Amino acid sequence: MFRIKNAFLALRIRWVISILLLIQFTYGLSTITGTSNIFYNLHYMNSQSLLDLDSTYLVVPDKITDELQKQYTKNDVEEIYDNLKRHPDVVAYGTYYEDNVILDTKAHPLDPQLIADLTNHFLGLDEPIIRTIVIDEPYNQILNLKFTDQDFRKNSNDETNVLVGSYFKRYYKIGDIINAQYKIIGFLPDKYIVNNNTSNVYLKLDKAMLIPMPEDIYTLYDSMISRLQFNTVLKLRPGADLDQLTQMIQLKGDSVPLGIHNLGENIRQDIKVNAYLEIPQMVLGLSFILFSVIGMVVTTIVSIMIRKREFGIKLALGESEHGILYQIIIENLIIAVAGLGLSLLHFMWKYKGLLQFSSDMNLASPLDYKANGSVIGIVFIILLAVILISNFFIYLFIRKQELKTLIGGME
Amino acid sequence: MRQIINDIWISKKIFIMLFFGFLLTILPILIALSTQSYYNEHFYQSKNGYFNYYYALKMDRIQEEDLLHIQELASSTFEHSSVLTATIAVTDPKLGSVQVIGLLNNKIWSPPLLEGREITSDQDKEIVTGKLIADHTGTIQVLNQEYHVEGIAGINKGRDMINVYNSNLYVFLNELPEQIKREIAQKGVLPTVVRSNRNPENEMNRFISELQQYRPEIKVTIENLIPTYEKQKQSRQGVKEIMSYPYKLVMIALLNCVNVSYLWIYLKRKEFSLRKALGASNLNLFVHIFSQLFLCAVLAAGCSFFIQWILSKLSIKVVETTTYFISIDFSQTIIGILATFAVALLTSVIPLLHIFRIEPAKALKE
Repeated sequence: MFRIKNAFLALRIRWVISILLLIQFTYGLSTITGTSNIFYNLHYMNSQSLLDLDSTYLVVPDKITDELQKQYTKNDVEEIYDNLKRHPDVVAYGTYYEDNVILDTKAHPLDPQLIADLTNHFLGLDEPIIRTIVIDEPYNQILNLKFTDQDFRKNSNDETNVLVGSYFKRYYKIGDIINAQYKIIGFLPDKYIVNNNTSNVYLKLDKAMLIPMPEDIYTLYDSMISRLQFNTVLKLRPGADLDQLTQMIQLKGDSVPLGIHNLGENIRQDIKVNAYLEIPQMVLGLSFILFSVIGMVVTTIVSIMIRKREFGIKLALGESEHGILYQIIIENLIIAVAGLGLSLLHFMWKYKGLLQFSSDMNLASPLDYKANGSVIGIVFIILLAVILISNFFIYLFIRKQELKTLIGGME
Repeated sequence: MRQIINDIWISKKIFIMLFFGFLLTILPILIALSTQSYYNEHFYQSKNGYFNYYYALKMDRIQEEDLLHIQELASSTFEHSSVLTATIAVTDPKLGSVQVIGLLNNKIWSPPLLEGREITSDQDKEIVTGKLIADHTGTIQVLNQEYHVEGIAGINKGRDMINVYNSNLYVFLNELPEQIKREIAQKGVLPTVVRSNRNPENEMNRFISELQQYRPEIKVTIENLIPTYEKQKQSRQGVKEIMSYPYKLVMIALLNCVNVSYLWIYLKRKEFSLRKALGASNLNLFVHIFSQLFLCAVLAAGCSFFIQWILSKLSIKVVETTTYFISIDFSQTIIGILATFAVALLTSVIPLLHIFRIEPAKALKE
């Protein structure tokens, strides 16, 4: 306690440079928090896909148009899928679509925190929703989920089995029914899934729900044609003939050609681009680390010089070099912790909109900014490294000091 | 000079730290300036070119058959101004989203081209398009009408600058697709933009009076677009974010320089106290401190300009990978020199305050 009081007194003596150092820490750590978020997200995207990155391919239209494919029939679409099924390079294929299930808060009272967490402010919705991926039977085989054949024989209004994200464990247990229709039969791993073939952001499953596709929708022409163009997922063998498969999935005479893109390549390309885009932030982060070490060493050396008699007398009275260093570390820790706190406040203020967007949309993307334990942990480790390195240099400086020089004239 | 270099050499460790601090202060300023100018250009390219004056000229109660006459009138009355329609967003069943811009004249501006040639005729269904609409010259269908792509629009200064024109389609007003002409006639409104490097008010007044002689019921309203554009330019969050990093680095590096200079002066306080005791005035001490810091800053500035010159050779690659554009420009160099002076001055503030307040007798006794 005495040392802490002393540390505050010392900081008061050198308040100008301490404040400068605090500003440096605030902006530097705030930048590092942003960079840590990006790299944490890139790592997450590379390692937490529910789909296998190397063998999964997405069907993507070359252009998005509003032309309705009226000239085709269900048979045309089914023929394409039949051809895919027979092709030796195709292990499996599946289709899905994204939906939002509105939680019925009137008939079934819900926990206020659940309602707050699931209300999407960004989309301007007043009611809580669960972002849902509706998957067909073949896609269920690719994902290897718990759904049975019977789950895919039901219609839209029937009670159905569902899998929900780990977030719901706090509020539901297996067997519970959401909205008197969706019976929970299990929880999903904390991974992400493709929710839109044309986008490079993905849906995180922790607050999501997977539903078996109702039979009436599965066989609906508009849904079939839309799923073929925008929501088809293929699992292919290594070295699959992509040109042949690309030709196979085209609807004859369609002006918008469909392409087949490897999910892993898409994600890795995205990671590469974003890692390059982070170069300026990394330069800033590394400069901050360098300048923080210099700043800490410099201000501490000045502090020691201002108080050299105090330290000299302490050493003469039996205090060890380590004791002096300990006192100095406390002073530096106070600035570092205050800087960390201020930097987090600055980060949350600056990226308020983005943090709200990330929380509402719950997407796996490089810009999925958050201030969770993992991100703060990374920032804390960097801060700890800065403190350790700077205090090592300070220790070297303290060791070089002679008692005679420190107490000067009081020999 | 020799004395200054000698003094710097004695405190070389401090000055090495200051040199890197100055380098990482001046270089980010230079990068920020050239990047800012790049994104300003990007913004004005998204408005179809940079001009000193922008006016929205909205014509009400227009009929489909008026379009040809309006185009001819604009062509004859606007000598020093470029006139085009506001962007008309349409979705073509095959091309997807298309931003159509009708040209009323092409005397002082036509879209910049990556390949091909400008459109010259308003009779031959000629168009210029961005790369997403057509990636080569030839014939294409736009809203079920056949057009001939004469040029591909874009500026070869990185992906972003090309992307500005990606979905654009330029065509003379009277050759707009029929669907668009019908929509204009239905609404009876034709919004146009007059852009010029000279004040176009006289030309606009002449155009309006001749237009009203042709059809008195046409109502025309004029609005200065500069404030709107400035507001839009300032509210680009992405650009703000990009620009924030170099300035953060400037601040962190400058704070580091101030801290190091404080240590420097603390280590030198006995020397300065002695100088003060021997009669050196505050001005003499200021010159002594500032000259050393300024020389160090000049060296760092020289190094920064050299790095900037090297990086400017790779500007396209740099902007595509990092979103920062590095170029050399006379005005930026002048600002860089001023920044060097300012940085040296700011770094001298704390040492000077310390020295001005120091009591020589007390300091010498320590």
